[in-house]
Amino acid sequence: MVSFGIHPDYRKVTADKKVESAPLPAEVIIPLHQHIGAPCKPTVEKGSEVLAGEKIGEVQSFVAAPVHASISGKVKDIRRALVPVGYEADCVVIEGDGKENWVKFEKRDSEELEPKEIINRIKEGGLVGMGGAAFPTHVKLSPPPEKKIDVIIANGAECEPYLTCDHRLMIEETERIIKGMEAAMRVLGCSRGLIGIEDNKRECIEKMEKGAELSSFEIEVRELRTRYPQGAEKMLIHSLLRRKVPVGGLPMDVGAVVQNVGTLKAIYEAVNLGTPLVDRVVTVTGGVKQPQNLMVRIGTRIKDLIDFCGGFTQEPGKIINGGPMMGIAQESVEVPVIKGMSGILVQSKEDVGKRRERPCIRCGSCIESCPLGLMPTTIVRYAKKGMFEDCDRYYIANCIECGCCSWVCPSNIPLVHWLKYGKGEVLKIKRKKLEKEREKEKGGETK
Amino acid sequence: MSEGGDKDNGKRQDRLRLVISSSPHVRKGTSVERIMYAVVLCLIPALAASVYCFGYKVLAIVGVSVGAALLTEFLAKRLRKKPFEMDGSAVITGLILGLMMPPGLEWGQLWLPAVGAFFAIAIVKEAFGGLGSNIWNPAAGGFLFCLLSWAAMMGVGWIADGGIVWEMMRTEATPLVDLEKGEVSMEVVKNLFLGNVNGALGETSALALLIGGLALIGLRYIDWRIPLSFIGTVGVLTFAQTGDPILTLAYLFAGGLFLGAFFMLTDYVTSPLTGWGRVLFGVGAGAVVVVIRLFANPMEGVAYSIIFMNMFTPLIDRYLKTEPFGRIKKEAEG
Repeated sequence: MVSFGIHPDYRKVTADKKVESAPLPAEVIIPLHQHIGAPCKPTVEKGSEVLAGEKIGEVQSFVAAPVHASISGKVKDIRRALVPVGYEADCVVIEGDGKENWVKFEKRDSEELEPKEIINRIKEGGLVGMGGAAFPTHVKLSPPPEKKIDVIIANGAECEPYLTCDHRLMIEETERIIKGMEAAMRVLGCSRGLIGIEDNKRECIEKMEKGAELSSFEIEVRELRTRYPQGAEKMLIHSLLRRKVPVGGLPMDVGAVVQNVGTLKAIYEAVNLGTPLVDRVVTVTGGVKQPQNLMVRIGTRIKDLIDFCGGFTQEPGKIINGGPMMGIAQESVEVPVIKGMSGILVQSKEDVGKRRERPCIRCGSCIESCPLGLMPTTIVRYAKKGMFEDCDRYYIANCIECGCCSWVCPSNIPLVHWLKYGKGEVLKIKRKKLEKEREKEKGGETK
Repeated sequence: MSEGGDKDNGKRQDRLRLVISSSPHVRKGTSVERIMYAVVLCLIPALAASVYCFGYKVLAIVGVSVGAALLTEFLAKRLRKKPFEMDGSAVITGLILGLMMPPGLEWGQLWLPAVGAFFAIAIVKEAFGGLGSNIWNPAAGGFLFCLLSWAAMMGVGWIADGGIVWEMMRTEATPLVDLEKGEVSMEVVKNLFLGNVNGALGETSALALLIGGLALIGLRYIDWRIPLSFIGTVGVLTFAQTGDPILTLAYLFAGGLFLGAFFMLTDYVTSPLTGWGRVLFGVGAGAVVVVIRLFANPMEGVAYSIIFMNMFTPLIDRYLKTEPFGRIKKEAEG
């Protein structure tokens, strides 16, 4: 199993559009939970005055990232609000004062810093993976000592259709990405860096090659075949290194750490400039009048961005956080931009259409399309019947939810929907089993 | 579980009616219909060759078969209180079954394909749950039903009353019966390939079937593994048994082997899901064909091999799975 990949319509209409700054929002809604891990605790109260860049949410565990005010102003409220990943979270609402009052940042040179200090600055900057998964960056850069990392990979594949934020960053922020990569390499003590870019992004490849040449580190740009999901960590590592991340394992199990190019840029900014993650590039595209790449403050309502892009071209059918393959459909345009949001895709009513589910005709195209060698139709048949142990037997946990199976299915079966559901249920069962075992052990001890 | 979770509860200020559904939000744009009608189109060469060889009565026979299949499907769906859909699957069944009929059917015997189609759709397909749930290939089931019930009608009267061929080939048996006698020349092979022989309607021209089959493979609608492993197995075993390359070729081009290989064994519903499963499936069916041709009535070999291997499909799916990316070997052994 090495060949994989589907070829959805790429539609990267914003690829040549320079990143523009979105206007300063009058109000931001900053969720205290923008990462994988435990939510943050607010460090401000209703009525507090905050400066831009000031920490407003502190972590309560290691796997978490603090959040910062993205504008200066007054805390209007701390309340539950809908966030663009489909649930409600505690949010700090800041009413802007229209001024750019920033906290003072401490500039440092990453080359003078100890790895520990670098990690600390990344952690304090509230960095998370900016490709969408939003895993805290400092955790990714702190593998257990027995896992030796020999290569760091910059993910510039950007295989999702429509999205171009990484594309633009590679062209416009080449130096910062390379510098961020160097900092990450220093932290991990690895000598080799690879930058993977799909071969449909010529300009990025050239720019990044030039940038890599100037570096004193051993950094190499590698062209990747344009195919989806080329940018999925496991696929990327296999394409570049021919190493297979084991089932249930992480990239570090094969000696690699993957960072999205946007995250690397943020690493440079957090480490060298001392600025926390308070803004990011978001591709606003699809059914808006002027699709573009915008530098946006975290917490800006997506409605403001859509308005800035000229509004909808026609009545929208779906508004998606992310790309069309893995993005999350939104129920409201009042949700804020979060650290992991790479794009806002507007689909018209026509695009959405009506897709009626038909019986599976066992054509096997989902199996053929699965980059992880799974049998989606078989797993889904079990998931629909609640036979989750069988789902597990068919390696449902290996599913990365890339969407290839649903994309190819001639019967419009929402395979990914069932796979997500099945994965959740399998996890629940496993947790319960663990708990029972623990209880048994405890019971044994008292006897 | 459809994409219809509209939210418009007035609480939200925006009054957009947005659809919420699980990713992905784009599709390849293929459909069951598209695949089924592609198969129908790829059967047209065989149908045309049949008309050329046996005359326009072929259209009547095939027409009756397709019509009966559609009508049966419609009635069965009504009975089961399920929506009837022109998804093309009943058309394929009717078409293939029609092509398996003898060309010598009298006008008064046109009820035979109709009964066959009825059995194929009502019993073999719908009684098991319809498209996607049937165990056996409906066309093969319908054909065997006719063959076992009206053997005389299916077996004799192979001479058509039209077309260009019947004058030349006034034999009373299918070429496979000729092959039994071992009288084979390259001329026979050529005729078998092009279709200048007697036989069931659609089985006459291996060439026409090959064109349609290769088109389906080229369009990636069917998996090449099944026809290749099936035809390959029949070829190798026949050659091993006869030691005669010309006779082997004659066996390959005769008796609906190509019809079975490209259009019946490859039926998604009744064949295995994975690549290796499909190879095993094709090899198994090929072996059954050879055994039947050697030891029993050669005419029904392909249909029986299909029905026989269909029954192994669930078993094959159970044991020949795909290899998950990054599976740890130790785990695999234990």
